[in-house]
Amino acid sequence: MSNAQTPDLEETIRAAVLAIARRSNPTIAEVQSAQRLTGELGLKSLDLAQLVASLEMELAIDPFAELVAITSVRTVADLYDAYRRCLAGEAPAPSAGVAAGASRAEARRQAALRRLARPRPEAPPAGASSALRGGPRS
Amino acid sequence: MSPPYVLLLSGGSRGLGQAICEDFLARGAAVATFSRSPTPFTERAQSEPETRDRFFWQALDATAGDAQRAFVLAARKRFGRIDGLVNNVAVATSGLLALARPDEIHGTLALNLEAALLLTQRCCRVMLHQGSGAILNVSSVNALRGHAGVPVYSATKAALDGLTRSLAREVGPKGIRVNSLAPGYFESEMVGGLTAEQKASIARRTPLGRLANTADLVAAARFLLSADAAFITGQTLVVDGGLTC
Repeated sequence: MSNAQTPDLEETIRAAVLAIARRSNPTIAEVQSAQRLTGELGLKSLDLAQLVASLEMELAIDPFAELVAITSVRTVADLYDAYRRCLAGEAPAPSAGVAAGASRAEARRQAALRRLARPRPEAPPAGASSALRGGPRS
Repeated sequence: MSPPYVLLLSGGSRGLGQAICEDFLARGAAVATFSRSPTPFTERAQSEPETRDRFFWQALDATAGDAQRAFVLAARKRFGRIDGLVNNVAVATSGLLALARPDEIHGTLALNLEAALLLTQRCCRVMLHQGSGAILNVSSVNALRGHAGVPVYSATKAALDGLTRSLAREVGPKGIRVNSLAPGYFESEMVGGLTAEQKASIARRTPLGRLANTADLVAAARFLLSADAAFITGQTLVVDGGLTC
């Protein structure tokens, strides 16, 4: 994407965010890059869906159709970055929220691996009914 | 109905879908519809001076999600908006479940349910952008009452009613209404397999004493899609002459 297009894209996204944010809070006068969509700007999940729909009508792209969910995008800057990358044909970059979620998922995965690696209770003698086995059941 | 009303309907080349398309065209609306192949109706509407500028038809397999997406975008590009969506296309699979082939079950689910979900998703995006719209799922009395021989079909229609209720709650705050129309037996290809005796039996069990005709259903569809139903959403309107009451 050329540099000349970038400011237009940013302005398009800010305008779309502002239009939707003002429907629930008409006092919002402008949108800042660092503002959180669901925080300061007060967008609900349905507002985010409306935002993605509006930008798809305008830009004919949807960066959130695959890989990254719109609900994982935190700030206006993250949103802009997702569209910029999509237009440039780049893979979407996880936002801070996505990265945190990925870290938590990885932590859960590691914990599960640790549980699996623990020594198991001695195996019951062959032929014992599984219903009679003692110890914790997984 | 104001002239710029734009209706998108799946399977509008014949039967109830054609009748709804004709009704909206006659009232000045623009209509976008698709079907697997053209029919005399689609060819006529595409060529007649009175309708050709307001009628958009494409040959399309409803189960091809990407093609549906392209169709919705093309319809919006042509007419500027989508005011009403009718999920009409369906296959009336019949037979005992115990004897149904897996590919029959999959095919019925793909056309009657998955295709409707995907088309609704695409049109919902346009309607979210607009902040208005009306969606109508063509259900069936088979979704409300059990009938031997149509369990797969009934399952898909009951699922559409579930879609109606949940989506109505989901998109209501954005000015989009979602309803179901549940026809009883009506004169169409779908009852073509019934004998005259069977039809007479249905008419005897129907409080209003006859099978529905297409006009009965078109009127109900028109109402649910119109501003007259502006405060109705998440409902299933049963048009069966009282058969299930």
